[in-house]
Amino acid sequence: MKKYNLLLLVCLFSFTSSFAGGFKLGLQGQKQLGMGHTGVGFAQDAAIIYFNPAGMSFVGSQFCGGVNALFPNTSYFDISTNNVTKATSQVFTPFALYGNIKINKTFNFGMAAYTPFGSGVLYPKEWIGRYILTSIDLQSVYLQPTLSIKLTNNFSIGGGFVYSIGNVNIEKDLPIQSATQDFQAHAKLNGKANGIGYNVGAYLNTKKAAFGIAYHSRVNMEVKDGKANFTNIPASLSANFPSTNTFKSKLPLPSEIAIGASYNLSKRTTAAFDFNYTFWKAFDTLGYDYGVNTTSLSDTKSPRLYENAYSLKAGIQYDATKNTTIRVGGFYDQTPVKDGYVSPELPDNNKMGLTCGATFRIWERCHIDCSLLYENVFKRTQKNLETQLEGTFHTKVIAPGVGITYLFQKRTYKRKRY
Amino acid sequence: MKNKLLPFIILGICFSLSSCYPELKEKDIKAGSADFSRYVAVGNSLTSGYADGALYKEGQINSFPKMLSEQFELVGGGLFKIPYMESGGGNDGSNSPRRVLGYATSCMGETSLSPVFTTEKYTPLNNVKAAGPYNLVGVPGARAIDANLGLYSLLNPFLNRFCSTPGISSIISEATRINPTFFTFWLGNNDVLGYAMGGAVPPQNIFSASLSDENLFRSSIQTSLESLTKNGAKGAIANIPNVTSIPYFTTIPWNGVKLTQGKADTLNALYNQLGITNITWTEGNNGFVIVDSAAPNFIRKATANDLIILSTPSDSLKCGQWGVHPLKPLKDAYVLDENEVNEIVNHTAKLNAIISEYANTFDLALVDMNTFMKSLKSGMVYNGVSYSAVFVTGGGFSLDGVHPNPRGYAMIANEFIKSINQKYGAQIPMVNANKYKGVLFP
Repeated sequence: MKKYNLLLLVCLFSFTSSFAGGFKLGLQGQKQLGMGHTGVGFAQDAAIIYFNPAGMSFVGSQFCGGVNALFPNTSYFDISTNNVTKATSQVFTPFALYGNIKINKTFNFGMAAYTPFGSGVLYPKEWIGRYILTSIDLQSVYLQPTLSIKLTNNFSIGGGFVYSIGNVNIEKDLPIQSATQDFQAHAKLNGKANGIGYNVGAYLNTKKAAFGIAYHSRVNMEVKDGKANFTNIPASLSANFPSTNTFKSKLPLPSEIAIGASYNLSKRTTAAFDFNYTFWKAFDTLGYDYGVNTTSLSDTKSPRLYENAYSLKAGIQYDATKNTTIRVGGFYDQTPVKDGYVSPELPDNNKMGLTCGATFRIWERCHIDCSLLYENVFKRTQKNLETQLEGTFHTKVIAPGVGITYLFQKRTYKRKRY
Repeated sequence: MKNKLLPFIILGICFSLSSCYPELKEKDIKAGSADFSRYVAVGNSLTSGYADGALYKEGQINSFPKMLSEQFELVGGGLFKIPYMESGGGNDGSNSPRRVLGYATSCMGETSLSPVFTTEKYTPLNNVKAAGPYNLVGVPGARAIDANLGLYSLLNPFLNRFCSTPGISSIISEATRINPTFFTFWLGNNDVLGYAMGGAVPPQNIFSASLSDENLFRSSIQTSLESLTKNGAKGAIANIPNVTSIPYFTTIPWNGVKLTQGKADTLNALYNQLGITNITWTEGNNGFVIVDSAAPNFIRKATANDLIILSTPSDSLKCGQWGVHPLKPLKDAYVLDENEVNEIVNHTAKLNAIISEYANTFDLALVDMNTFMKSLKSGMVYNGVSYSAVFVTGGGFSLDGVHPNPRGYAMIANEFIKSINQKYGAQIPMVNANKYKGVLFP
């Protein structure tokens, strides 16, 4: 066992890359990720609190947590200057923690902390789009206390309240030059945001199959007192760019409907399938409302005009031995970003992902879960209507993950008779 | 278990190693059917790198031909020699240095950012003839009709300083010294600009600025291009932007007289007293009073179709009652009135038609600078930066209001590259204009 974990660790440190593909993250459970991030209709561990709160009724008391090392890797080919820019290497570590307690036959209470949205890109100094963006770091953590109710032996409903906290950091260079010093004027917007929402679902469990439906509400993240810092501004323009300014902004994290099913193909094999539809239309404009406006600094409103998008996911798992389960899966994710609106902050496109994973039951109550995600955000060539930046973006993502599951009650595996 | 899992994990690792980097590559670049090994740039101040009211070394370094030569180098271009000035304040041709953005106090006691002379001393026009011939033959002040005149090198100090034999060498004879395989030709601006900058005052003598005669223009262009293409050189020719596109003519508003009702009443009374009835004043913004020989009493209020030129003394406008007082109308030299604007625009169109015609005859790439400057005037965005033809803040022009700054020159270089790529089937990358400096702020 140790050997394999070591191998995964090597894998983890051998890639040096950057950026998170799209700002929705599909990394909410190690077992689920191994199967293409399916899980709305497959209650296999406490991560179901995210996927479908109703499914908690079928997992028993347990803790389950994991983390991914996300290595996104973005390149940009600029058509006019015939130049390729590679975004600077970064690693992100989105995590997901879930605890579920079976209170009685009817009620399960759970608590979750996970990172459903996030993104980050860091472009090299003096890259061609530096007056559009030099870096973005977007983080959000959802905290979700959840209750599920088993209405019958086979059917449950559940719901959770979401409190979201987030952080946004956006930087760019300003096209202003000083006569006296050779430095680059720079703007940095940094703010904390929060918002609320909910997550509800229903789950039907039959002998050979299970079905689930869940709805994740929209969460309006609001930055109320962000800091706008302007540095290296020539003295004659310092009044136009107050060095300590504030800003307000809003970023809607979209609602989503998810339908999923799982089916036992054999005693040792289960297949799962998910369909998601995300209401990205909520992200219509991105605006910054500055505390102090000057002739050089007016409030901005940039159209984003995102479109609703779907994703299809499928996965299969196989109990290879008594104590080992292996998984494989994949997904296709439609981009919400229209042509003409792809920008360096989110060089998005339709994407295809392949995943694999494994669980090692090192002790009957304690399992180690591993996963590996490979994602290809397809090449996309377009001209941004607002900035006129014209070129091709391409992103690939590797995200190995590791997690632990601890069962508070001994759970017998029905399909473990070999 | 071991045997079953191992291939699975190894596969995963191999897969990720091989394909976790995006596959974006630069495209092949090529010269197409052109040969850039010996490139010569023929033109006026715009070709020389003149900016901020003077020719100075950093301006030359940021000239569009220098940028082009760097791009041409990628497809076989050779050495590009520039007749550099010494470092320093530069020279406008009459020993004044360049302008920088500084603080100036107006007659009303307000201090504000405006173009002022640099504190650096002017740079004498050094004679660099010994190191010639040069690839950059940009001669500030040169008109197209001067291109083949040997005598011109005696009169123009900018040509005089680097040509082989003053009094005999012409712009074109200098340009052909390197036996060019490729050339850019951009002359013609001064065939209308000098006249326009002087307020379209009727020429007094042969040395006065005037609109170049069409036939003279035509024959000079023809002779120039015949010489340049004699040995099979290919090239690009650029046309003349309308003067209405540049800040020199659009910065001072036609209606810069701002009045209270009380002041308007006082002025109306004054004008009535003098029996001038065609001019009435109202509260708010009013057009300046300008000289117009066709108007009653030879004066009238300016309209949106009249242009006040940038050299009009601003203190006189603000405090000296210029353009307001009936005895101080803005002189013809400070105004392009509607008729004059039309005259100049129409003449520009005629000269541009000749340029197009010869681009065709000599099978050259035509660079439509007139259209480009119009689009700059209406505002454009380049990789996230907004540019316009507004003085200082527009981002593309230098402090003289006529010549571009390095960013503006980079965009001009890109216009040349676009046309050259199209005409000769070349694939030459453009320059990143945002890499260059704009207006420098203190």
